[in-house]
Amino acid sequence: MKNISKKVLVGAVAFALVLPASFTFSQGASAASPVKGGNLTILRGDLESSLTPSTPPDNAGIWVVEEIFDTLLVPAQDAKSLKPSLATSWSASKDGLTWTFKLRPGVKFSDGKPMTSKDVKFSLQENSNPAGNWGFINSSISKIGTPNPLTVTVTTKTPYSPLPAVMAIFANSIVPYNYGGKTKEAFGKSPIGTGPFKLATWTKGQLIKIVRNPLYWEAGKPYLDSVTFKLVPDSNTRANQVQGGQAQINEFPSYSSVKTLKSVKGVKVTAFDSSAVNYLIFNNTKAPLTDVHVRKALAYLVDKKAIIAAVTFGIGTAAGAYMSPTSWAHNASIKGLPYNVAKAKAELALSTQPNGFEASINVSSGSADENSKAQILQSEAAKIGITLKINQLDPSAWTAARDAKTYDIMFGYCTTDIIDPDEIIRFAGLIDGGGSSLWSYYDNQTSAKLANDAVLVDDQAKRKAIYDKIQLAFDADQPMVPLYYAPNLYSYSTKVQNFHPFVTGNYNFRNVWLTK
Amino acid sequence: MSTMTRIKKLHINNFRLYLGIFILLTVIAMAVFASHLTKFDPIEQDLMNALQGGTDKHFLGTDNLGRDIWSRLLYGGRTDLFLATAAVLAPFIIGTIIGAICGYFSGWIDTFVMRVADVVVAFPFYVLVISLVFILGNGVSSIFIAISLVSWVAYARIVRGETLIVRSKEFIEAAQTGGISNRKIITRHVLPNVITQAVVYAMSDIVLNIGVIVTLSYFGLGIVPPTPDWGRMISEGQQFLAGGYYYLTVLPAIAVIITSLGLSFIGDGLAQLLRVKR
Amino acid sequence: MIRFLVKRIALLIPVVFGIITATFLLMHATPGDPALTYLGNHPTPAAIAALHHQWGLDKPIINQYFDFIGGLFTGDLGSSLFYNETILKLIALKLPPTLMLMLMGSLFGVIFALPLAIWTAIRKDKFIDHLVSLMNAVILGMPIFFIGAMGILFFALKIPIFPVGGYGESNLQHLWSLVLPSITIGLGLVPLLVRSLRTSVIESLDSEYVAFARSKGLKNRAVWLKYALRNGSISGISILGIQVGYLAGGSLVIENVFAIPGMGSFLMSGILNRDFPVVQGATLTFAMLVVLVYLMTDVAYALLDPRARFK
Repeated sequence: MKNISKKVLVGAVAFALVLPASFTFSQGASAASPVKGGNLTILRGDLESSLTPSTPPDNAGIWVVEEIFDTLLVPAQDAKSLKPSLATSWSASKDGLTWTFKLRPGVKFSDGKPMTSKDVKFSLQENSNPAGNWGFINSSISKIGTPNPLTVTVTTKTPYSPLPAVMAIFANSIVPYNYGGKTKEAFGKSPIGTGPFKLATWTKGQLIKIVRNPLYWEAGKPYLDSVTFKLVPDSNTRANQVQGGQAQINEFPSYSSVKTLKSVKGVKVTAFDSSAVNYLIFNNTKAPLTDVHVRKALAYLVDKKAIIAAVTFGIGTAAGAYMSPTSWAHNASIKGLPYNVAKAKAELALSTQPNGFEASINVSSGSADENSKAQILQSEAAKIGITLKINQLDPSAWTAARDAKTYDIMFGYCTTDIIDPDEIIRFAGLIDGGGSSLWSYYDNQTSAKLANDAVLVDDQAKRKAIYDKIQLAFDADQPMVPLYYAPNLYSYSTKVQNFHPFVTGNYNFRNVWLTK
Repeated sequence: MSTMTRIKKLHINNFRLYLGIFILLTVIAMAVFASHLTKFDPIEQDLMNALQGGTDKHFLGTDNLGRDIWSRLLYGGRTDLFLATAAVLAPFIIGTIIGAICGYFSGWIDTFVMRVADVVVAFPFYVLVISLVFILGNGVSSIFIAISLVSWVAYARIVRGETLIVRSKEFIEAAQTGGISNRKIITRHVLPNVITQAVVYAMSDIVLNIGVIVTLSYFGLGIVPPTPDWGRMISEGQQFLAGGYYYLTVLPAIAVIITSLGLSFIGDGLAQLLRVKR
Repeated sequence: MIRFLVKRIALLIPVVFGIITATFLLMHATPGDPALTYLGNHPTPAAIAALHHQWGLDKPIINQYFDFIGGLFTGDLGSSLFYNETILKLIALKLPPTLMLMLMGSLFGVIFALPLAIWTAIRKDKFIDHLVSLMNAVILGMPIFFIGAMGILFFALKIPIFPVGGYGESNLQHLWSLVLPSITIGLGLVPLLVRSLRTSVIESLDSEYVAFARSKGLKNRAVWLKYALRNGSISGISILGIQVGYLAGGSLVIENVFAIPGMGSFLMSGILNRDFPVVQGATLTFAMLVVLVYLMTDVAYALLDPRARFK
């Protein structure tokens, strides 16, 4: 019973940065050369909503889309740059308005038809519908041209430096022109892409099986014959099945099980770096949370260290700035407010509610982690006279309260979809960034103006200076409290080799193989 | 059989009843005098000492938020025993009255009520309870209402069946011809004769209710924290099974089992007592 | 017999109708909107309205209700809002595991309970009788998901006999993976089954027939066991009939614990997503199941004990 809608999902960033020394690096272990063949089963807790590239709002759908489809560009391993994929090269015009992409010759869809610029234009247009889930990501695009079958030009309304990064998002995956003559709905049921795998069977709410695409353009890949994604909501059951050898990969084992799982023979646990930032979110439109002193008082009550100790079992790091440290725009100087009950009391005294108040925390039922966090905050808040009531809601009611602005306090997290910080700066920090400031409804017009200026600048250092300011303003207002930066946890059989999900989460099964 | 031997036999046969009462009273006493049996506050957290097995300080250990498990077991008993019993009382009273009326008068009212009862019983129980808890919000009162809405049927059916038997007895007919009002007949003559079966059932119903509360917690719809309760302890502990922290789940489960043991013995003993009486 | 059947079935119609109505009202009274769950992160009012229109949720409640009832008569349960599939197809997919689970669960329940019931009936008030009733009370106190979790721990992980969950690929694997979940459900049935079976065995042992048979010198245990069993089976059937509701509820929980893609998890996801057609279809299926089992119980009763027909 996991919540799909909380995630702001993910397209592509790269694998990066420091891993805690205690975790194994899957590739280090095996010097052996890849073996072809084998069927892999991965267990996941979330239900996929759709396999049409422009549609899924959930990681469970997105990460499968990325195995069936390709984008023009993909992020490099270091998350700092982009690599060619279906486009072999790209360049901007002098005025910064028009981008030209040269397509890889000889690429075929899994039904044997060649991929051309006509398909690319159609795909980008499909995802540009402002009513679609991901239309906002293409909102800067004004025109798409196809001078010849292997060249695509994209023109933007104003100079827009994140454009290449936008071409690497899953939602801009390349589908056949006009969905190969099918309706969008029919295409969604039997998708055709240029990716390493193609869909074999899909029983919604149960399993997705993808098999090797023999026409895949990257020579020798993929190694696996098939990958089966099974829906198993209970984290205990997932852990048990990998231990019992019925599956090879467990997506997101519970934090508490990591220590035990690491001691199980034939199973290893890896914390892959992720762009995920976990927040305590206040409804900035609801009194008394409209008062910055009230929000700050609550922020002083958050003992991040204790939360990491008790909830994530020491995995993850205390958060300061609202941008993830996996992004180059992360402002490392921001540490957030320290845990200090006296200061919280003093802050509350300055507010409209000096003697405390009553509010509720909405928790999505079935989430043990949210539940623990809510109980920790509840007990801290009681110390300064704030009574917090915990509302456990099922995902549907939780979402409804979030969108209707009727909640007081909740938890949420977001991960980035692209390697450029523009998306998350807006999504989590600005009211019109697609996420209504991650549903805190925080509205800072000065920051909004700064963000618009930032994309006009091409120089990264200059852009970072602007993003630093936005993050500082956010820290001063505390519309949400960034709690911790958490890695993506996977436990998997030691037979699985070269398994390396990106910072954004995509699995990259094209590189994975199984030892016998 | 002489009266003496009969009483003696009754005593032996009802060893279970006494044992059950003893167990239940002990559990209730522990819940009532919780504050004297532990110096820990059941909701006080100690995050840096979380998930420790038995120590000198916490003899049953601490949970994932560093709360004392022994203390939570004691205070949790208060919550669960109270709720489970309360959720038996209301349906017991309502169901008994409805059952007696249906059985005594028969006719269209009986047909109608029994059809409604069929609907309630044929409805997947957890769908009803889960939907109701969604609608009413989490918490003690929602669980109470949800259980009550369903479990009156069992009492109504039991009492109706018994009433049908009693109604044909001579003393009722005598009362009717004697001009005593129906209301008086039901309250004075029918109910005292039919209620014992319902009481026996009530014992196992309390056990079933604890099971429902625990299962609702498993679906994240149980009692709202920080109120300690066994169901939440079991279901929260379940998240830590894969981590090898079995005691988080097993200890509250043992508390539930001991309580159910006491109640079952009382139920058995009462049933036996009835049989001897007849 | 046919008149009896017709009468019984006629009585079921208002029950089924009541369930449909109750489900409909319950789901529409529950807060939450399927469009919000479906659209995810960026719902625009226009997109929500469009979905509501597509799903017919913009019509007045009363019209939605009659549309649904009308569909029922033509055998159309509608389509899932999320799965892009008709409810009938989905049910056809999800029902077999649940039916098997309930059947095998009852079977295991009887296999465990019958010998215990006879044994404790013969050795009434002896040590074994007390031991079994102690065991019953213990099982009765254990939440079913706890029994399941412990079962997995000991019989799938510590001693790897059974698969830890899932449903397998082939028919044989389906069956094999349902064994441990069925045992769990069966165990949950044992206390109730033993209790009532024991009573009816004791009653038949005390009955005039057996006394008569004994007086005639029929010491052979087989004779009175046979008689006791026949009487016991009547009460066993009625207990199973009454407990079908428990079986349905148990499957909801057990399917979750063992990751079985059956009706229980289907219904649960329907409730969570506010996928109205799914909840309606699944509730109706469960209700029909319960009602049919009642009917079958009545019929079996009538066949085994002709007096019941005239009650």
